[in-house]
Amino acid sequence: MRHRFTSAVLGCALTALVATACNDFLSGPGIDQDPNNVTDLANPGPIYVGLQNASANIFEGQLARISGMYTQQIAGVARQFLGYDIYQSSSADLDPYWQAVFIGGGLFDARKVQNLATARGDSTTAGIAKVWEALIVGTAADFWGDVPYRQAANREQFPNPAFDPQLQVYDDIQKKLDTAIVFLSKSGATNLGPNGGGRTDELIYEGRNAAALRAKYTEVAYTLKARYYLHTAEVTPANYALAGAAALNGIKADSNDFLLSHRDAAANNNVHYQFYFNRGDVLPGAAYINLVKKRIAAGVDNVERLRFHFYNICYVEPGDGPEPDDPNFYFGYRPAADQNLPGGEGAPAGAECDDEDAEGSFSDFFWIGNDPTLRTPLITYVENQLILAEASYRGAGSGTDVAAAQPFLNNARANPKYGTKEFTPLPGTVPATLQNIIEEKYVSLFLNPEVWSDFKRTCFPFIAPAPSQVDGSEPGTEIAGRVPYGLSEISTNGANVPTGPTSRSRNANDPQACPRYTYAPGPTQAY
Amino acid sequence: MRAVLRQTIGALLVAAATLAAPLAAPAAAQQPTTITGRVTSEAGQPLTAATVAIPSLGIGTQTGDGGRYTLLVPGARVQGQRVSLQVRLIGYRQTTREITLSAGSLTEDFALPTSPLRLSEVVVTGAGTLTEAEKLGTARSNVDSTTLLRANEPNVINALAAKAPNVQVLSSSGEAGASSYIRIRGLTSIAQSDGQPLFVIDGMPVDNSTVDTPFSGTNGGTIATNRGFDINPADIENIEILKGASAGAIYGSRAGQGVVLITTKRGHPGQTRYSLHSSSSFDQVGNLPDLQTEYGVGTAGVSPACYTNPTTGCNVGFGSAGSWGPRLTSGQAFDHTDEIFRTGNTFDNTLSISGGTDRTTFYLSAGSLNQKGFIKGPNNKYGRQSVRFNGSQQVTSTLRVGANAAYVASSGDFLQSRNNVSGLLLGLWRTPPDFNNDPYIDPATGLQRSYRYPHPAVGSELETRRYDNALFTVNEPVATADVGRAFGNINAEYYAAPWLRFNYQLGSDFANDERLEALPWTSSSGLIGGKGQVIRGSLRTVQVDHNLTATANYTFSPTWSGNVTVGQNLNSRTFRQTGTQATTLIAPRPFNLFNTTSQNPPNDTRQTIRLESYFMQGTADLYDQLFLTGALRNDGSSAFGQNSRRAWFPKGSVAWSFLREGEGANRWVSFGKARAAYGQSGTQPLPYNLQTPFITTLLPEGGWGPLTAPGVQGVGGLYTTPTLGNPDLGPERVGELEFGADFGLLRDKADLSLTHYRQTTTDAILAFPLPASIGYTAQLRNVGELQNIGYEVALNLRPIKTTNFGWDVGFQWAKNKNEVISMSGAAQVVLNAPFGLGSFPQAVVREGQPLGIWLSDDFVRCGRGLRVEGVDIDNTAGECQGAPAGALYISADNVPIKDTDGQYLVADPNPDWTGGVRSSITWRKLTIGGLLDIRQGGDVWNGTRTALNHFGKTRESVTYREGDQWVFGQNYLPNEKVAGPGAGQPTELGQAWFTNQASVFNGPASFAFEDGSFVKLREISVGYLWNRPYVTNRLGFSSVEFRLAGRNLATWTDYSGVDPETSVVSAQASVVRGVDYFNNPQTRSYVITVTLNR
Repeated sequence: MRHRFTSAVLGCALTALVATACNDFLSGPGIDQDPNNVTDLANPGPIYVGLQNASANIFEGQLARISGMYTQQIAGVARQFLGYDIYQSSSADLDPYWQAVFIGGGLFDARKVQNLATARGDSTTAGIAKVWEALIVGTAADFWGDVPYRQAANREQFPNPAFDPQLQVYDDIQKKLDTAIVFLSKSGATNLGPNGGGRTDELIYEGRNAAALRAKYTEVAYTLKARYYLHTAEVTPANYALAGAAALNGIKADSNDFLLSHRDAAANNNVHYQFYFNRGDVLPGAAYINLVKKRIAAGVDNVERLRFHFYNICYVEPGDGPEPDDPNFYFGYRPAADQNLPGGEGAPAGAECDDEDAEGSFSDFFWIGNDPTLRTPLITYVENQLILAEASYRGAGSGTDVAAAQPFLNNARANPKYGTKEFTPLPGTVPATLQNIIEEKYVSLFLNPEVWSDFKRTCFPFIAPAPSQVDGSEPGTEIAGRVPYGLSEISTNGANVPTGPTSRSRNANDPQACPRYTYAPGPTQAY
Repeated sequence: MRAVLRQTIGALLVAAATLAAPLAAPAAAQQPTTITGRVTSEAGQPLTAATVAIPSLGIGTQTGDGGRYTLLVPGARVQGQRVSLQVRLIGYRQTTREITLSAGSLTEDFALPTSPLRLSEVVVTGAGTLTEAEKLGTARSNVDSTTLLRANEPNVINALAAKAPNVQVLSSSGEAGASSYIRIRGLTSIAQSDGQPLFVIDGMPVDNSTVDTPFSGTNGGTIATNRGFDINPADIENIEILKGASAGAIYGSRAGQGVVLITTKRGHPGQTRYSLHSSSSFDQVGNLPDLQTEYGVGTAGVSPACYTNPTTGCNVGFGSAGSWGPRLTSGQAFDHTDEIFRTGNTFDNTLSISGGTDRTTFYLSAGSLNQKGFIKGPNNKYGRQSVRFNGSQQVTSTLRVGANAAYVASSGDFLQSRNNVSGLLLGLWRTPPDFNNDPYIDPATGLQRSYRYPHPAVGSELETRRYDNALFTVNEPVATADVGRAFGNINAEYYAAPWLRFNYQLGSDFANDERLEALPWTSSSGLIGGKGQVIRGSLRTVQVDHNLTATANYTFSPTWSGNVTVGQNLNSRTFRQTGTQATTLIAPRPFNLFNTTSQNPPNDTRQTIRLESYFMQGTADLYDQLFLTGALRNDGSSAFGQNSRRAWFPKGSVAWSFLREGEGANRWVSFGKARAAYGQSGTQPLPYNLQTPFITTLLPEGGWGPLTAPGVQGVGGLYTTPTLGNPDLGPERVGELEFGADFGLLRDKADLSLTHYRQTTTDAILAFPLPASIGYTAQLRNVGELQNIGYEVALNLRPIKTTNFGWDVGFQWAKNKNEVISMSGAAQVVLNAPFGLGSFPQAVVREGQPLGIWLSDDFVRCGRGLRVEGVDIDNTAGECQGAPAGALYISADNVPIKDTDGQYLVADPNPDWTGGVRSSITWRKLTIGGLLDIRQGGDVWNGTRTALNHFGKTRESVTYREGDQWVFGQNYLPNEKVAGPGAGQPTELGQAWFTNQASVFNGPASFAFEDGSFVKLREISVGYLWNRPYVTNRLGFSSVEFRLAGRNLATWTDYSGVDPETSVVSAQASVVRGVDYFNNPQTRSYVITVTLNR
């Protein structure tokens, strides 16, 4: 470097005297061109890899935690999460997650993969990226309602993208998935899969060849279509039937589950795990544990599920109280860490909680704290079967067809699974009522944002709103139905950001508020 | 653009031709002239080191012992002409005598009158230009070696504290090797520079950056040293601070934040001099917060089971990790406030040898600094070994060549600190009083025990301790920086004709900095959760600078003379950084990448900025009282976009000495000068913002800690950077208009300097926020406009000055008002916030506000149009109706409630004004001096306090813990006006209040702001100079000087934390100042200095 500078100096200084300027002193590779990063790329593969990894921040990050806290699968117990638990999320809090949906690693790169793949005639990769686009935007529409879509990620034409009505976004997603399915029906050259030219850029269905990937993603596309038909069925009941029809082509076996990819390296670890290590501000929710306990008591669930998700950090001498095979071994928190509400009491009688005080007698997360490579299930066979169950139950839109729904609920219950963890098939039978279908989904889809969407549509399971103040004991207003727009979007695209909705508003797909239950003894709440 | 080049080149060609001319035509040989003489003060004392010169011939020397000098004019240049023989010495009036040069010997003695105003002193004005103090069109701020040595600061930046108006210095902590930050006047850039001035040593721009170890956080991890620390203050002769854009315009696009010009010591002809400067300082911890020792660990008065019924392997959850447990009986409590501090010491020795002949001079020095910090354990120390050689040789009568070179080896050991669960004070101060940190190693298992994991289980070596035991932190983690640095230049000065001087300088500054930051097994920090971590980083900076100037002196008439300088500057700066973060140690030691199992994606960055510049400056001295200067610089930078690759920076100044001795001076006003200057300088953009690359940087999950790599092992991943490139990016431009006046008063018994400036930054680079829905979150654009308006006053009084007794007192006062004038439609830009999360404040840029004003959530207050539970409180009786705006709303539960939706501008980190008072008394050989440093205003966010509130460790959490007699606005928060249904009602505070509203985690961030005003006793010293004849005769020294000094001995402030002068970010972030989050405290020091001169 120094030598080169010296020659440049001599060149510049001396040649200056004979009237030629030193034109290349100020430009060239490493001088005015970035020597550190890739600036040109023709192969969509690396961006597709980035997209898959970045999605962990969207689907295992704060959005998943918010959905989990609002549905009381988990509870915010410390610091900022006490506030989030009681629906106090500001625009500033949500900003990083709003941004992550649209920028590189999100929608923007999903589009880039499509463009690069299309330019190379790689319809497989393009089709897969369209499925990802639908998944990301569908999740955004679910959390925020109206979001920019038709004009999004297209800076040259739309420097200030308009917000599209939520129902239109869902419509557009259906069309996008239809296009994806068409793309995935074509064969042709692709870089994906083990035989795809040396790169193995597919992480979700790693090891599958191109034809298998097209088949898997076609199933995923149909399940997503079914999922988003359900999202809109509250206002368009005909969509139940469409959801059922789509789900029939959806994920056909639990071996085809769409699981996020994680590896051993710290920066490839499961985001739930990383968050737990860094912060630990959320702990198991009482509503979830109590529901599973009640199902166990009714003989329709088994303790394996609790054992997989949780453990009691109290040390219990063998024979000295409940043990891990006893559901009474597990206890969860109420919202905002309030242990004093019904269902939130702590240690099992006889347990010697050597570890902590009252707080410590509650359960902690098992896999979240112990399995950095756990692959969070995002779109699964069980979800697909339960969509079929609900669609069948609803019949043409107003029905309560338990019989039609029963086989699908039974299928889901016969293949209980979380990610790669298979549980023993559940004992007992459950009539396929809407409550049972949704509760099955609630316990199966732990920390999956679909649970919040289901709750908003069906008001199952029964959960009481969180207290209104951090230290208050009174149940607060209803459970929040959406989250605020990101602060940066408001300050840069304010004219387009809908001003009406607050965190207490309901999105267009979900106009009906749920009944407000309370914690009071003798509750209207079922559990 | 080409035309510009051609013209410049044309000028250089003319210059080159002139350069060649004298070589071609040597003058006829003649006999030399030898001028000898003696220089004394008017009182008759001999003056050494006075410069005696014939400027028109470029010949000079310095007086030696007894004030004697010999000046030889070579025969070739003796032509019977009349020349001016000039004598200068700092503190004396320059005296000039016309003599006629003829062969043979001349004797010229001088008796110099004293001149406290130092008007004739030569002032270095940058890029090879010089002038005299009287001719300066801008305010002069100068720090000489005496002042520097009196400060006795190992870091030269700290030595500048309170030395000149509007020069603010902020030391990040008192830790050995801690960085310091200097800001001159206001911030002129939003995010493109670190807000610090350009540092130039002997004409060579040098690096003063502070770079964190790769992967070590700016809020956590360890601190870093600013590279200015590499300069040995004992080698410095003089520092000129070019404060503003007009003074520094000759440095163009690098001078937007001012320039600090450092001149190192030279040898002088005459006897060889030896000087040993030796100082020992004893450093103690400064202010500390007041922590409680009455209540133990737990919650709601109950200890956790882990304490009441301890078992191996139990741990304390976050919910019981505070000191909200039972009241302790005496004898149970440990005060953790200061148990990790000790008296540190610093030994600083510099030996220098200097001397020379009338043709050759040299200065050679070796310095050794060893600091053992004030925090216990082996990991708080800093050492700097430095050597310097400055030499010059008069090769021919017209050519002088020289070299300045310094080599520095420094090594530092640093502690985990700040926002970091492995950090020192975070762990220490959260530790409840009933936990004894000692021993930090559990005797049974040999593993770390901490208050949240008091009884380590066998085999728990890979488990986090949640917060590390502070004694573990001071002893076990390792963080080192080993720096090798060489900087200096070779230079040549050539007089092509008596009126034409060429100056060439080629300098380089090279530093290599090897970092290691390791956390052992069981460390609590971040992702590693007990598994241990090794970070290896390597930082290399290389700067090469070429500066060629030609200066022509001209005299049009006896009343019109001056000079013209043209110059070329080429500069290249390269910063290379590689870093690897590896986690999970295989065995406990060594801390080496080999001993780890997994590595995160590496850091591998190179940045090069090249600069190609041409400049010219002309001066005109009219009637010996009106001094005009005009300059123009053209900069081309590789960091400028293709479409704006070159930029012009003009300046002009005028100084008018309207009153002088014999020219209207009277007994009240002995001298008067008015000055005005306008100039432009700028700030370069950071490189490589012209394109939009794909990147592999880890993606953060919000700000909670999880980080996701875009690729996995074996399969590379990329994503599009969210910052859109801008091919049109150009420099930021700072235009400054400065007016001022300097007066000598009361027969020079006093002087007064007044300055007013208005700086306007246009084209300020703003990370212009874009809606994320387009796929990008920001683009750097030259769209901002900032303004700094300020006043500076310096008044020096010398009321008593007799042979044996003297008393000086100096006052300075400065004010700077910063305002963001325009952001071209961007509503707000969030700066590099120290904590990017909702419940922490954010420093923001907003139109009409000072840069970096704090945006935060707040309590519900009246007058903001808020609704509480659906009620419009401002217009409802019994709520806020009738209450003053801003009154604290007290809910029906009798407590304030957090406003979860609004964000408000709640605090301003910028001081209202700064000032200082300096005084010294001299009686015979004894000197007593002191310096007070004053800052009024400037809010500091004391997150340490509100975090410790949450943990029940603050004194206030005990005061308000029990009873229910607390009333907001009365006996609690008495300065708040209150309204609302609960106003005036008593309530309990206790754990509920301190873990919620008054907590850093759950309360509004606004609650933690405090006024950072202070008065500091910066220096106080007693010195004695021992130079009686027998010292010389018996001991062989010409003089011995003893000094006893205290530094930062007292701070008067209402700030409740460690020190209002603290910063959670090391010196690299420009705007985000005044954040206190478990920062290590400052120190107070006692210093003994002995200087032996021979």
